[in-house]
Amino acid sequence: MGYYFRQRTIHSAISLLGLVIIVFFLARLTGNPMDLLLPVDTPQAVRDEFSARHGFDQPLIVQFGSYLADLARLDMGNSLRDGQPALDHVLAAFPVTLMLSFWAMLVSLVIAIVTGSIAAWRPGGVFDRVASLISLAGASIPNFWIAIVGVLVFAVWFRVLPTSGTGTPWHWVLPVTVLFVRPCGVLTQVVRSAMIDALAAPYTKTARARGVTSRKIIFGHALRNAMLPVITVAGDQAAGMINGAVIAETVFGFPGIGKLLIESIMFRDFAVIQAAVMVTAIAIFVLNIGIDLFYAILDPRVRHG
Amino acid sequence: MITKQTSALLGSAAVVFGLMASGAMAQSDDTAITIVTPLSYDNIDSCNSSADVGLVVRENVVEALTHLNPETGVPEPRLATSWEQTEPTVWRVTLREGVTFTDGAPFDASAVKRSLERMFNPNLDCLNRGKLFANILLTTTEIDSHTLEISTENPQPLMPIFMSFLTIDSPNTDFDTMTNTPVGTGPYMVPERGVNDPIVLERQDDYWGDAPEVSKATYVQRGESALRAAMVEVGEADIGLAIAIQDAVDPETDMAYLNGETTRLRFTFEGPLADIRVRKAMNLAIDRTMLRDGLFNDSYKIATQMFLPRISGYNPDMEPWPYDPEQAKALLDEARADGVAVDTQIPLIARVNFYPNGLEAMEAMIAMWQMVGLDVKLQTMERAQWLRLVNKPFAEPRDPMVIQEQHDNNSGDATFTMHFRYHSEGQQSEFADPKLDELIDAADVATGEERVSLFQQANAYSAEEIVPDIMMFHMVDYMRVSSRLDFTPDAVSNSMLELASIKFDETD
Repeated sequence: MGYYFRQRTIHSAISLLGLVIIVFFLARLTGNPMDLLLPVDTPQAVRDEFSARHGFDQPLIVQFGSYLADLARLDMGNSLRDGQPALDHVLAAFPVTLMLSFWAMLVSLVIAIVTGSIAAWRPGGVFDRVASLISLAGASIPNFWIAIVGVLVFAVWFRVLPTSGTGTPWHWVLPVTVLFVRPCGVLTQVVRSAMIDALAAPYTKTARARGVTSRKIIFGHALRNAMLPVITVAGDQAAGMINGAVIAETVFGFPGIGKLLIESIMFRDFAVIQAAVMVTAIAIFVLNIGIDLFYAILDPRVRHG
Repeated sequence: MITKQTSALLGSAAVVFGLMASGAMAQSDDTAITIVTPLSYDNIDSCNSSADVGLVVRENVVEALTHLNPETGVPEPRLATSWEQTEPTVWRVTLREGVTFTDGAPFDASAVKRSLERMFNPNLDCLNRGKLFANILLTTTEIDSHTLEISTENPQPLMPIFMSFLTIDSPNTDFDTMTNTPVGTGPYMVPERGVNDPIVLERQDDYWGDAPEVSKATYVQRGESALRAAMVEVGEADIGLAIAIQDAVDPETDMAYLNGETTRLRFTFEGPLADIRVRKAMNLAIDRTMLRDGLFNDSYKIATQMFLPRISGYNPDMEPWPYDPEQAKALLDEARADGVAVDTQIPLIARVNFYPNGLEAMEAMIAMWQMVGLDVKLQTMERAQWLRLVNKPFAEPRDPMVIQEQHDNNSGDATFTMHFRYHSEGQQSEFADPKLDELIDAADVATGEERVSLFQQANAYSAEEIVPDIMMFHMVDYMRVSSRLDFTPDAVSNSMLELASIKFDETD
């Protein structure tokens, strides 16, 4: 296991370095931030003066060298917009996204496991057809549409939820909903498919022949064996949460990393973009290692292999 | 038949929904308001007050020496009570007495001197310096505690207007770093706040002027227009800025106002566009009334010049171009006969997300030009790309192009537009015309009626004899204002939203 961890850490560090290089150069291909920071009618001499103060007049390779030197001291630079350390912005925003993603994944998994398992019990039955229709719709509907319609229905028409913002548990309902619908749809399909296979396996037939209750067969025997593909897909969905978080946080004014990232990209706030990408990437690497561990717990073959 | 379990479930759901509704609709302090904006204001340092953050801080937290009347554009006393030009390059300013900053520091000549020196500090990304004082160095001399002289290298007849942008911050403000909690003399103060916290302004009780009615203002950012409109509709916010046309559906609360912006298409004087007949034909081919009524609405005003009528130097006698496709065709035929390459494809450079329905307007204009035989092709660009084409030094060779532009002049005087766009040395000028340069130079140093008249002549001469652009519209924004407020936005509301001008509607 120790060898496995070492290998994964080395691979992750190499990937992270590649990511740092790509993000650094791609971000700078989008132009000089001073073009966005300063008013359109700012004289060129002033633009040049501002650029020089932030080192944007230097060749890219020199800028990259400075960035790596700062990074070695764990200094990710300051935000161009307010001069505060970029890492402070990211660390303030990250827990919000983490919490949002956690609740969204939890709700997704609970609904997907229950619905997918029941649907698999009688494939082609009424429940299965309805569940498949809803889960396919959930996997296909754009998050943005769900967000705006959710606000219109629950905040404007029925007035039972706040439109946006933070402050009470009710403020979390719509953002979590926007974030869980898509993974839930995908996971329900995966659970259903894996459970159909598991329920057709010989051990399930044996259990039925021995008079074991349906509930125990589904949730006690078949589900555990059907979980491996579910965990794989759930891991992918969790890692992709940042995409949904951009929409949910931007629309609902949630101060998470998705909103921070999109605003930083719009303002070419390079230091914050780089810090946000790096922290997110580290979180995804940790998540992947966690999923591998969970695999090993569930399946002894993986552990021994 | 409804079972006991079902009844219990329905009952619980009703209680939960009731609690949710009461939670969602809760209102707190009656005199506190929430303003929902499309932008987030990350750096509210007072030396950025001429940029977007002016909406929050200008005249609310930090006050300027003078205040421009939004109707007339005339400077009025604010922190300065009087001013006079003692020499062509020197203005003597008398400051208001009995004023203190919200941190207790006295407002006097030394505080003003320090604040102006901070604005010119090269260690700060100060947007006021970048935007307004890039070519003007202000030197201040204290005469006594409440009198000072402001000197410039060249004569500055517009100093009282410039003074409306000189927002004064406390002498305790850090000289070398920007602050997110500016301290001024205004009716509101900014409490300490953490990273990513919304901006809150709180009324300060010992303000030197009349106490405003609004006790507290919270600024929250939402990117979606529909959401901003919804927030005001359900009572979560009191003012929603930049409401899109399609969301401004309630005439009771959605107010249209000229936002100070004017749109045009600028010609580069290259290829066929070097010929004035082609430039005139492109103007005559546009049906501006149809464009306005089809894509915008009648709150938008057809523009004849690049600033609003309230700006000193506006020429009220200028008429919009008529829609005359036959004359446009005749001019193009005449140019073609003289060997002008009228059939060359001309790129129309449009900026992504410039203003609502902007791209649709460009497409409609291309169709109108096609009808008179011109081949114009749309090229969309994002801001950084577009900036490289609009500001000098231009890349060589310069292509024939028509470029989409929008310009705001809320400063009260034509010079902020004319020199920049129409003088041969202007950063966004495409041509050099000695007579126009002469008129603008003369206007720049003149004062009073003579100044107004010279700018009016320059405007008319440019439009009739040079035709450097296709004027479009004086633009409109929509603001959704809660019925509990008594407030009407004006042309400066987008750059300076004075909370003191917001009252509560007693009849609501």
